[in-house]
Amino acid sequence: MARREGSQGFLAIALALVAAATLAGLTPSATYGQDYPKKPITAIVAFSPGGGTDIAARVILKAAEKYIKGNFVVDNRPGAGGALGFTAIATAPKDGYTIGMINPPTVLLNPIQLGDKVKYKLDDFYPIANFVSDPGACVAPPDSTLKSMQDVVDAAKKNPDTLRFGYGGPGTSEALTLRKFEQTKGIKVRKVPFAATGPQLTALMGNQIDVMFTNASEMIPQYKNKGVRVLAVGAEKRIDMMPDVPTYKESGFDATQLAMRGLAAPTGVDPFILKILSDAMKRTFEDPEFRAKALDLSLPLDYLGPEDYMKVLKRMDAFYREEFAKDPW
Amino acid sequence: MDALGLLLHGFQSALTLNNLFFCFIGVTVGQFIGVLPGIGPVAGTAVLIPLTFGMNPTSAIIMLAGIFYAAMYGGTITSVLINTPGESASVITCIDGYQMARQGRAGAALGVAAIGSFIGGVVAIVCLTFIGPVIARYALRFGPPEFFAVMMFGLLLIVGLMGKSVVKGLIAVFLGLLLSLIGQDPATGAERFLFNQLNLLDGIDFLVLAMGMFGVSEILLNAEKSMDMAKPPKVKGLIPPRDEWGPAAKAIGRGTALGMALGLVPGSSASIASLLSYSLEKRVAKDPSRFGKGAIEGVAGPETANNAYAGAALIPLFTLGIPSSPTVAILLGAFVMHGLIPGPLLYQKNPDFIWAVVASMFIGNSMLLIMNLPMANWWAKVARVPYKLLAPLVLLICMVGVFSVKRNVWDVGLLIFFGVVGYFMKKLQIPAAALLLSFILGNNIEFTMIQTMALSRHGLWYLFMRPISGTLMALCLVILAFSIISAIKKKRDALAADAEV
Amino acid sequence: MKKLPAGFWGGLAVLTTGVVFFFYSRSYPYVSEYGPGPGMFPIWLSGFLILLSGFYIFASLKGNDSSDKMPDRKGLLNVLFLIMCMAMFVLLLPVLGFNLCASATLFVLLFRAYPWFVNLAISIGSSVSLYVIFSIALGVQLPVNALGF
Repeated sequence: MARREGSQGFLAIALALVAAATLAGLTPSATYGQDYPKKPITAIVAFSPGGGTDIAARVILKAAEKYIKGNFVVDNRPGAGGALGFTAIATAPKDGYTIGMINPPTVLLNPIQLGDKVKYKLDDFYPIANFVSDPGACVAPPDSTLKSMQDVVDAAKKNPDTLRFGYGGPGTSEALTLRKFEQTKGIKVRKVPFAATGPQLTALMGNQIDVMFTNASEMIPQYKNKGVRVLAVGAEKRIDMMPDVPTYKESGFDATQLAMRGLAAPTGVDPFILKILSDAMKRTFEDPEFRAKALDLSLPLDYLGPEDYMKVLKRMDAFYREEFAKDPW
Repeated sequence: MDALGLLLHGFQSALTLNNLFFCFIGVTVGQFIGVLPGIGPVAGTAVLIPLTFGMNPTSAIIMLAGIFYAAMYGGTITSVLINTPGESASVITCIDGYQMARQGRAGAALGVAAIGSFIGGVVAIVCLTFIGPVIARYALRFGPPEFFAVMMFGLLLIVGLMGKSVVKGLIAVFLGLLLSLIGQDPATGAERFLFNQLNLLDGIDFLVLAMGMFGVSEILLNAEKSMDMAKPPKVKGLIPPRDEWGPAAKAIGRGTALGMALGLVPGSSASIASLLSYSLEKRVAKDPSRFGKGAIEGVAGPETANNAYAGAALIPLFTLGIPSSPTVAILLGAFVMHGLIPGPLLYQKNPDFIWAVVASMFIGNSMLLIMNLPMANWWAKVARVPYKLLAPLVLLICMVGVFSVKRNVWDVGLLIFFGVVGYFMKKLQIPAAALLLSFILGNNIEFTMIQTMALSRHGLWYLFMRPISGTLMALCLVILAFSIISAIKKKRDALAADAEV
Repeated sequence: MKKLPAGFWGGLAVLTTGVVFFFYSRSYPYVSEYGPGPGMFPIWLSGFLILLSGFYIFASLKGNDSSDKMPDRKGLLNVLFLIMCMAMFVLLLPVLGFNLCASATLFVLLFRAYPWFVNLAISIGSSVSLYVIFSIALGVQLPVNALGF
């Protein structure tokens, strides 16, 4: 007897669940009566939630919703150093409802390094807008004797193969910068790989390593804290957030190191839709409220429209291919 | 410094209705995230950060911190009830916790875990407030050589935790280590053991392995006896019997100390904390053979340790602005987003904020305890859902959970594969826990070894040239020597005694 | 002739794994700029594994093994049934979308457990609830089929 009642109760609950869910599914979505976008636009992020790319994407896309008059939904597809996500963008349906974040130079390095194991190419993307450009930074502990990149070179020459240089591991833009640094200055240092900035910073502050290459935006809290000394940044010109820090070029090292993050769509999407997207992004970037928030978040904004972005991408791609051909990593 | 006064002021701020509300939401969401497989505290916290934009910084951090430690507790619930670790720190809890559940003592397991977690978390926070800054500076002396030494120590402990057969245990450990090497080698970028699958470039996800070898394989194992499993024994209630209070309390005490010590060291992890605690408990117990069969210290110790770890891990974040683990790194991102720069300056410029957050952690942990003690019984009743319904649901939830990690069906296929492998391992009595733990440690060990060798021209001898790592390595060698000697002795005794069954 | 014990087959599986890994390890460089190359660790690990599997096989053949017995026919069929259902889920997910696929899988799994209408309600109800929880509450998009659900 008790069993029959039990399963009847079960049945009731199940039916109620079905009813509720159906009602939820029938609720109309927020954007009706407009040509594009008619439903939420999916933005694929090739990295895990919480990382730099993810947070930048979420912040910017949320601000852009006002201008696109629609909703963005972030879809995280981490894996294979970004390759899985980038592939997903390149092979997405070309109806304009799936776009994604691309990260030069990583997005460029994957096909160069992994060859045909990677199923996308630069031509598979139509760049909509670049959001942020995060320059590299050469950083030393606050009480170090190293006060400039020249000091680093001198120290390395005095004691070859002793100076402990932290970087993000092989295949990163830091690795290329470090290699170039060693080659152009004729020095040899001990290169210590790190999997993430956190442990790298800890090692620096604990004097486990003497100096390191990393991303400027990740150093901003410590920079403000005077917890580290930023010797130089890898941008073309000095950056606003660290006005007293010279660039690599100013310090005698003729190179730039830039990690960019921007939005792209698969090639083949209706140009009309692409124009709507790029215009919306442009207006987002001019929005003063958004710019204030970005400043709070220390996001190094660097807006590039589709044509400029494409130019930069092609230039970077040519550069990296040349480097790889000379000396593959 | 009037720390106590500031703390009281902090309580005032934390006890406002607004902040209490956000604390409650954080703790509830955190538990939910912890129970659901797939979404870990990292992803869960990250997804919620944008929602905190409009909130004032104090409330935002209160909520996010609540998610952080509540998620740890949620992972315990699944470990105990369905032998599936929700995240890496809960693996150890599966060993004795699940056995306790099978004996009808799920309530006691969850209860002691709740109490231990509360005590561990609160004590860690107290120390955070008063002696944090001093200790944090010292912790910076730990570099890659020290991390390597700590992990080797952990590996030796895993070996020591194995059941009857040394050979099988070692096989599990080596398999775990090998599996962890699949993927791109972070030190040289070489791709290893990909078998032509780009999906393996990042290696095998811990969650896939854990849910396969523990969750799915358990269900497959039970399926042998047909899906109408005998009704699990009646849940005996929350409070463990009198004679277990003493050992549990001592385990909690030891776990707190251990967890806190490790939490201060950037680079260790909650799983090492719980692993060390379990080993410690097993070694100091009067009757170590109870472990693996439902010893309450095997739950109390590790659970306390990993919450104490979580609390203490916030110290390097607050005082130096250094995140000691990915989850904490998310919190750092949240801090920065709200314009708060963690570090020594934070204590000076925004003392109200710090003390309010600390006070809220007391409150959050209390909320966890209050919510969970009665709920433990509730959760335990989940085990009484008819198995023929529970098993398929758990199977589905495992598959969805794994899918949600990378949104890749391939991972689910891998889950099934490891489910079958785990099933056979259980039948052959090869310890899956050892495999999983050494998997967690595996490529970190290799990476830190390479880092150590990169740091100095002396290569691995560098380990012995530094005081901390030198001591740890010496300890490892001593333990290794002892184990080998005692193993040889046992063999010799066995041969001499001409064992009769 | 005595039937080979389960441990023997287990040991053989471990041995095979070890050999495969060992084979691949040899194709990676043994040393690198600072010390161990990608090949070193794996070669030693797989080497030890091969050794250990040898011990394991030896011990199980001597009869010292303590493994469980293989299940009887009915049990084995149950296990295979579960595995097939999971495989079905994986194969159908991209095609049917989560809601349909999960409902179908649950329905099959619960086939013998409840009368079909109760089964249907539970299957659909659970699947849709899971969909709601993951997609909406947690923001994790679960796959949808061509019809959009």
